[in-house]
Amino acid sequence: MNQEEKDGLAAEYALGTLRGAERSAFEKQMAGDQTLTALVDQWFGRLSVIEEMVPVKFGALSDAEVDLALDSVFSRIESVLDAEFANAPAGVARPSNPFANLSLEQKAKVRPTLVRLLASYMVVLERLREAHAAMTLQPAMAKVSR
Amino acid sequence: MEAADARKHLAALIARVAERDRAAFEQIYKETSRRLYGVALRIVREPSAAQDVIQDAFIRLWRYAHTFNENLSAPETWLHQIVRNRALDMVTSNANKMTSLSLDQFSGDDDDESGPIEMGVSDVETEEHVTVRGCLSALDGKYRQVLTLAFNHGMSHAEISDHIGVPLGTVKTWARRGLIELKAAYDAAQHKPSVRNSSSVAASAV
Repeated sequence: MNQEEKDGLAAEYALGTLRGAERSAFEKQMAGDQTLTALVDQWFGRLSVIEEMVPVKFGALSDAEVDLALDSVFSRIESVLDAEFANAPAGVARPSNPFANLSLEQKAKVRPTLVRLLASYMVVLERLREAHAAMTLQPAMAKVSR
Repeated sequence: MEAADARKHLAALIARVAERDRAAFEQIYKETSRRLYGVALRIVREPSAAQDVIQDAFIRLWRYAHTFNENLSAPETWLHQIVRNRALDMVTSNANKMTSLSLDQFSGDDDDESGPIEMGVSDVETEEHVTVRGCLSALDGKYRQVLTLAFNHGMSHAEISDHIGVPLGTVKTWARRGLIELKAAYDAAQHKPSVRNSSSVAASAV
């Protein structure tokens, strides 16, 4: 496929007129071709201006009803995500990052404690190594002295 | 917020979502869901179906945030595409049901040949938006109408043909010509030195 053909297909994909099997085939191709992804993005950026030129209308829905509907959708999304996490088989679920919700300031406060913990761990590890070396050395010394 | 700052802010939030940050996820939802709901509603034309699209799209955002590449896609475009793709999937799988629904209540004034040239601006207006709007306004009305029906309302060539009463082949030609002319006008505008550039050149010459 030459550049012009790629651009034409990217334009039709972004416009939404590429449908069915052609659309699926294009998506597969796009997954392995970064040029196509970039072309689609360029076309999408241009065409989305069409959308921005007309204010969004929510028909008969009032602003309050839209807000209520979107709040309810978010609750549904949260339930799905919670259920997914709870039902994930052991070893597959990615544990949530305990620091993800901390602010930079909170992370800065936690940092010294983490450094101390790490230092203590290194000291313990070193002592264990020394103890292990001493245990393996004692029988060897006993043999030599005999 | 400036366009570049808004883009960085959204990209940073998506990066945090990729790290399983629920607070960032909720923040994206608060900032974008209303607009994206409008996008879905125009395509699926039914509030509860549009809510399902938003639900699916945000679950996809949660699952696939790690695939977002800031170097390839603008974050708002990436989100927008997720919603549009879900909405188009729904329209395709429920084709008969959807096409019977009225376009009027969610369409604004973009459904005729005079096209959407006079209305509002984006929340984050960039120089590129201004350029593209100029190019779209300069397009032949029939091309603009076809592009608008396809992009804003997720209509296929056949649906547009039924809607405006023009043969299918003609609709396909108009869509293709519209895209070609839009790109040609955009490329020409990109190569034309802008007022800002020429004034800065003049200033640097002094």
